[in-house]
Amino acid sequence: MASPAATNGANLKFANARQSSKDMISSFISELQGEEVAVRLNSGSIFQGYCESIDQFMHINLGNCRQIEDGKEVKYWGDAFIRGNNVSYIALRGE
Amino acid sequence: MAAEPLLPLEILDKCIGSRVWVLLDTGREMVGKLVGCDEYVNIIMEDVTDVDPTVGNLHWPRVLLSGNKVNALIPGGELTKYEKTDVHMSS
Repeated sequence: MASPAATNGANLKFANARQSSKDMISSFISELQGEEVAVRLNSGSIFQGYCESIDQFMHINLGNCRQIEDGKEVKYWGDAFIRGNNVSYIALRGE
Repeated sequence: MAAEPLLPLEILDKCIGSRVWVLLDTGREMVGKLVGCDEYVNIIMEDVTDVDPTVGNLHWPRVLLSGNKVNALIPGGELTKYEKTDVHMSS
């Protein structure tokens, strides 16, 4: 059995690693603001556009938004709001 | 002396920096380098391939994947030649 002190030390280290990983997610979310993004929904369709704003629930406001199905643009929407629960992933486009 | 058991999320932390294969609820699969993750298993990946055998694969430099629909995460994911069918999206 490891001593309680050693176990606490390991837990603390783990907690710190988790915290930095969590910060990474929130900093990436703020990094997405103002960038060209592609949002893939659980349904499989892709919405591409300019990310006007985004929050921790992955609700997204897109500007100049177009909907893409099977690699082809099917509809131009302009401004769009996407509710976060439908989002599969958000990709930064380009470098 | 028995080794301390690794917590599930601790294993996830150990995968950071290596390539992983992610299986989603919707049946889709993604391969990429794991950069970060949180307690909801929201994942940041780099150099990502969204594997889609019917339409063709999609490539993204950086992706934030929602943890909501993540089924499994397998370390050491590499595409085989059968999954290397790319599509070039019109943008």
